Amino acid sequence: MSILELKSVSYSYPGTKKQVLLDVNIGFETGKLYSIMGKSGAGKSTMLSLISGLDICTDGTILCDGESLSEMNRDDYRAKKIGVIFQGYNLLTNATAIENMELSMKISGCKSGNIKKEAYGLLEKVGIDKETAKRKVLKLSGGEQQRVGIARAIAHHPDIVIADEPTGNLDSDTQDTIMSILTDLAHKENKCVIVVTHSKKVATYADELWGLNGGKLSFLK
Amino acid sequence: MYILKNAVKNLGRNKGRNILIAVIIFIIILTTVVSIVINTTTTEIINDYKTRFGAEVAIDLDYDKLAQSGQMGVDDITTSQYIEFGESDLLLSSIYEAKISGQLINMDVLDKDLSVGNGMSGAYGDGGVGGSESSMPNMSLLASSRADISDEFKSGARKIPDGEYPAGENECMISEQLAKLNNLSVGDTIQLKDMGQSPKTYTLTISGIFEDHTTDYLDDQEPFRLPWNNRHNEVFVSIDTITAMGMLENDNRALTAVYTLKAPSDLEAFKAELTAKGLPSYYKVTSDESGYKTVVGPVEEMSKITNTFLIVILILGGVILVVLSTMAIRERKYEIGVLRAMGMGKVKVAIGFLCESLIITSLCLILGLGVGALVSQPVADTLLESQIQIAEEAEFSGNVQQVGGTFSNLRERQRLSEVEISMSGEAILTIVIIALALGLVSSLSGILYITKYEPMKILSERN
Repeated sequence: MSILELKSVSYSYPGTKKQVLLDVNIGFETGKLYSIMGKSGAGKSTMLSLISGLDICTDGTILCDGESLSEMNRDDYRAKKIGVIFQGYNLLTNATAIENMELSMKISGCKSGNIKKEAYGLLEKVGIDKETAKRKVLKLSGGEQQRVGIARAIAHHPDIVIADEPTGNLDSDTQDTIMSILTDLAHKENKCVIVVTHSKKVATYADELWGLNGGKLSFLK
Repeated sequence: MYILKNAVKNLGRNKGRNILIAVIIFIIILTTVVSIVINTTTTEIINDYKTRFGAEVAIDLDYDKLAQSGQMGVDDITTSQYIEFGESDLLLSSIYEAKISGQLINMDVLDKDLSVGNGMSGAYGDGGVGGSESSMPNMSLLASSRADISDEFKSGARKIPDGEYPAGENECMISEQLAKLNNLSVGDTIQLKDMGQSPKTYTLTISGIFEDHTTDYLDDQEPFRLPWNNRHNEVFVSIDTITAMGMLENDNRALTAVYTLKAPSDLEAFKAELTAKGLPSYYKVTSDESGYKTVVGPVEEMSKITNTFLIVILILGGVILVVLSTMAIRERKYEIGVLRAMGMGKVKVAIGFLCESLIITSLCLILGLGVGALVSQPVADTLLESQIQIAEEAEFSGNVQQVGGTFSNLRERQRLSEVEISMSGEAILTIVIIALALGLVSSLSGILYITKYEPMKILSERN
């Protein structure tokens, strides 16, 4: 059964008639890594922002666990149901990596007795040691920031993890590391991982590959 | 709780901006503290002055009105009218003083012998003891409702070592000299008669004997130095006694009434009351505004200056804070976007911003109250000094308009030259409210921004 389902989803920016997404239908299941490919401007990021509850579709329905997003508190949805890995990392740059983690966990209402310990554990899992975790985000490399972004996205144990060009700014070795982390999340931790990318290399990690062209979504592999 | 913790951490994360905001808030709070503390203290002083001294009222003939009406004669205000006028809830006090001439009967009076040389021996005789019936007064009968009786008793020129000031009816107080001359002591009785066309005789019991060190009557040279103006021959009675005797009915001008209003603003109501009680229209009723201005004028001016200063500072400071916080929010736009993308609700983000603002404001408030308490006194002293100087210069140059009529010299109209500044609970409460408002103002633009934009828009702009 799909944990996340898009039914006839269309989207156009306010005040324009141009359809960025057109009648998109897709279901996402846990334990799989999905890759959505497309050229720049194809609507990938828009689709991601709709799935992550940062925007609302103009037509159609997005269901999470059978419940429509439009009827849910989208703040709660973002805080608890999904984890988003942004292309630009979107971390609090003045705060340390561990502070970013802690804050995210607290926002999601994490009941853990020792949030800090758990946060360090998650960071270590993505290759960030304690020393690095105590540094301000601005002082970290792009790869390190992306790892912190991944750790933050899974900090509240969401069932769905969405990644927008997660390897866009990274070197080849780091790309592999990041993708293996995401693959492990899907396969070993039974998460539903959706990766939006235009990288063919990243697409090779996907269990299902979908293409987005002119606002229309089609199954590729 | 995590919102508050994050707010505290954020203060340290953005030191430069927060220090700048803190400095501005501190300056605003400091000036607010100084202004409010001075203002509340001066208000207390003014209110205290009003409560203690009120505003003296003068009732005088309005010559302009008389001239306009063409009226030739005027009716004096009668003694009973004066007493009736004094029975008003608007008055803080009604003080009456009376002085009438009389003749002591069967008694020797001081300076009696001087009348021999000026040919008035018969007139100033001993009131009939072995002589002819006298026709001239040989004493003054005085009455006062003042707590300190008169200026002489206040200054110590007259003292009461034996007995007390007459409180009841038919009691009197005489001088030590007069008592010795007639071998009188407390408890003895004396007799006197008024100088009316049908003189009446009154018997009074001595309730007190006063030491009299006054010497001003000695300046009078013969033939003007007479028993009547020898001050040792003065006899004091209470106002109740003198009115009960009916001696005032012969002379409407024998009684002086000094009315003091509870507040200068009650003057119009008091005027209306007097008119209703029969005060003729050609009398004018004025308050001792110039006396009031003399005493509290500089303090009032100081209060006005601090008030104006406070308003200007609050407006300017408020504008600067709004501009600063708007600029700060532009910097923090990305942070808002990230927090919102992480699932933090608008309200929680706004509370976080408000907490930051209130923490800065609270720290500035504590510091501002402390520093303000220290600098308020010197600031107040400087302000008051300059205001007194301005007032004195204005008086010297004759620019002060004298308002009103004839006022007594009962009160010492000494200008308030010192203001002891103290921080009252009311002042602290007002300052805290203003500080909270400043905290709200400084976070207002951020809160408005948070409610206006969606996280996707903020982040897409940044990316």
